[in-house]
Amino acid sequence: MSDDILARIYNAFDPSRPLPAGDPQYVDCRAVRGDEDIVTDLGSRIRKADQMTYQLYTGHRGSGKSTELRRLRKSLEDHGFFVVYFEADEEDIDPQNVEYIDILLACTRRFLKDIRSANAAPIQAWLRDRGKELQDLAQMEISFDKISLEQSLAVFTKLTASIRAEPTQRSKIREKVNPHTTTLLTALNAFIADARRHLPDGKTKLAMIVDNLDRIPIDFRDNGRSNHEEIFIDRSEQLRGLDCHMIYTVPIALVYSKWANDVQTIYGKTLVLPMVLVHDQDGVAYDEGLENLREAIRLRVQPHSPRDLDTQVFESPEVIKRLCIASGGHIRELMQMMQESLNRTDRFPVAAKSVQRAIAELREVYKRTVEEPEWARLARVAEQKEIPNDNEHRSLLQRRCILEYRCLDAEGEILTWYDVHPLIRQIQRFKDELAKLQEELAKIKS
Amino acid sequence: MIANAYDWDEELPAETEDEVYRALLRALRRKQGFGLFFVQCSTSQGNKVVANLRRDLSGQRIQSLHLEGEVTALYDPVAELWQQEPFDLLVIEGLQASLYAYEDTKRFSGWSSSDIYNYSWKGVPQLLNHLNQRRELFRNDFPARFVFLVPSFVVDYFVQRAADFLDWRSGLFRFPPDQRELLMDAERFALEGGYTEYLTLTNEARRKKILELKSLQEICPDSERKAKLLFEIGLLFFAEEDNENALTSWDKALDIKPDNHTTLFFRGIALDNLGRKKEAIASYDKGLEFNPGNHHHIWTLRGVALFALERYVEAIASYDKAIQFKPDDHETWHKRGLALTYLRLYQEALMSYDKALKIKPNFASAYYNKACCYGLQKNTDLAIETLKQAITLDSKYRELAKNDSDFDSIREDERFQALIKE
Repeated sequence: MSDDILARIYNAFDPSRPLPAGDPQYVDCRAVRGDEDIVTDLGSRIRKADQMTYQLYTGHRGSGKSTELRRLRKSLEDHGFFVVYFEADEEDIDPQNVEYIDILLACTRRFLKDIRSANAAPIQAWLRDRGKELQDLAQMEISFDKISLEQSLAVFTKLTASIRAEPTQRSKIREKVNPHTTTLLTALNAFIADARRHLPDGKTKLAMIVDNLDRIPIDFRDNGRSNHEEIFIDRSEQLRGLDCHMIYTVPIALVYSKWANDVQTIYGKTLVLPMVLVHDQDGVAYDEGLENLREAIRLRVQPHSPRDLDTQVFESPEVIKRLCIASGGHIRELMQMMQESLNRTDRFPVAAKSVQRAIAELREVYKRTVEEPEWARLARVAEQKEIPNDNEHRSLLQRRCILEYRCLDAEGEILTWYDVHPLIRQIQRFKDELAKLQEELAKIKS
Repeated sequence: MIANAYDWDEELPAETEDEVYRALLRALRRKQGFGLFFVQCSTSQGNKVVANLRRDLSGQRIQSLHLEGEVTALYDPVAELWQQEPFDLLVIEGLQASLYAYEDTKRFSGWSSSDIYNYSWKGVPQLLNHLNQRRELFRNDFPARFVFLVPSFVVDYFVQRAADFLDWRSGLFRFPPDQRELLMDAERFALEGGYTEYLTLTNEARRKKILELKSLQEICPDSERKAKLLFEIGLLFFAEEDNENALTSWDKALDIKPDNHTTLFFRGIALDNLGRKKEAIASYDKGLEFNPGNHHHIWTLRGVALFALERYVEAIASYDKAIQFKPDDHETWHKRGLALTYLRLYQEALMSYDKALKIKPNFASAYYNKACCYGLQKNTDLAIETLKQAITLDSKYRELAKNDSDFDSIREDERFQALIKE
């Protein structure tokens, strides 16, 4: 057998690329992700709304958010929407240092960039009113008499690029633009109103998806408030001020913070993309979820090899099952472990030993992620399947040491629960801590 | 139950150097386009890996990028290389040098980074921010494999601080530490070590050393050397006046070798600095029990801790022990005098001060405390005369005397008033 097929299969498990909408490798995991779906839930809310909607979307890093958002985009486009989608950190913001105004500037730039057909006069007027100072900040010559859309776009591109990468310019721009947030919003809304009438393909409806804002790590100010709070709560009026359906991805920690209620009041229910259910609350393997993950593997292998997955690609069905269980239902980690398994494979079928090694290597990373005082915390989560609303647990959630699962309970209500990453369960330090806890609990009960 | 299912993956023996290399080779042979590969290895292992890759991947265009000193951005140097000549594979090493200068690294190098969730991102190494931020750009602009050769602490750092970047990896390859190299390193560090040397290092140099020693001790198979390394790590923290981390290091060293008196002594000092006097005394006592030799410094420090707890009688006994080993230590005599003063044994206190002054005739604070003693005894003449000597040697005692209640009995005396007004 040539190494060529192995190479092709290896490359099919790329952890750095979300799937485009309609990709044949996509597996619908709705039923094992708490029965919610971005297209039918978030999407239909947008389609049916008679007013603009402002919704939040979140989930663990690498759980498949960007893939889901691409599906949403496609679905909305199919329903006559023009969708402006962008990954905020790609060109516009620096997640480690972001303020609300950065997001507004980014949105403005993206609207200008994607809707060339609209009348940019309101934006141009706004720029003109800012005058020479802004010209200095953008470090470019602007002829204010007849400023074109292209030129406006160039200014905003320069501003966001500076905000993203030049710390000294960043604060100057913010200082200059912040007092004019309201007028910029008004100008942008005027632009959007005109854009709506001049959308390509005769479309009339408009939506914007701001991806990757979930990458903003929590950062506490000296007064104890966090950047998350400042952006998504304090500036919610502005975030909801655009005359266009908006979907913002947000850090998963925000939804479980002490502001959870505020978040819900302001934005409605946040849609969370949980892990694929690989085991239930009692730790019993959940076949339907495992089947979904197995299918994700199969669809990536199949185009390159007709071999039977259970016996010819893998040594036995048990081996795939172990791999899927070890991922905790996390798609990117499944891809990573698949690659690590293949790194230890010269010919099919992939041996149990290779998969075991891939699992052990990823476990090693988790061992290094957990800090000493956190083991006890993790043991409690493993016992109780719930997390208190504090920074300590939010941080563990962000680092994927704790995973979120959803399923339907007997009454058909969505039940959310938490568990430690399955890889952590096998770490001796964790086992000791769990045994200690169970012993204590037993003492209390007796 | 799933708990049983996990028994499937019981502990695996570590992979050999050859196995890890072959895994890396397979990955690099197969990977198309953009990919991130992290290789955890020592410098000499890294050199070997690069040489072998050049041999085994002869069809691929391999370039290397050696980073020296602090680098804040990687995109530009990579783009420059790419423009000169595109590559299939770029080996990058020397990332660690970009981390030492940061506040974050200082925290990171400590043992108890327990509050990582409260960390601000302000002190985080710029390079890590840069990599987190530019990962899409790297992916879109360079359809090539990036191989990062890094020591283990850098991997830890990525796990905590550049998770987004690390998340895109196609592999993390951990070379097992080379035992011979390891033991030689451990030996070298143990020989080089020393508190006075550590004091002269810059913060960055100390951090570098701490991180190196920490990874070294983690994999060191020899418990004797491991304890020694942990002790040295403690000293490095101690030289930074980071008592908390010094203490943790020494506790870890004592877990391995509980009877090392030097470690117990230093541990006592760290505890003392942290205000945990009782524990400090217990640590000194334990050390003295294991090694009752001539440790006059420790007896003195023990006395000072007891004094702080207002256990004056025991403090004096401890000072006596110190003096027994080193009769000409003026500081201990002086401290002994103070403890006696607190017990109102003024005559004995005066004798103690005189001993100190005989050894060190211009010992200003001994004169001052002696004067206090006279003051408490209401011996006006001698109090004033002795205070004058103290002030002549160091004028700061004039200020001190102004509000010192020990002189209340002679405060109204004209000579005293004249003396403190001069």
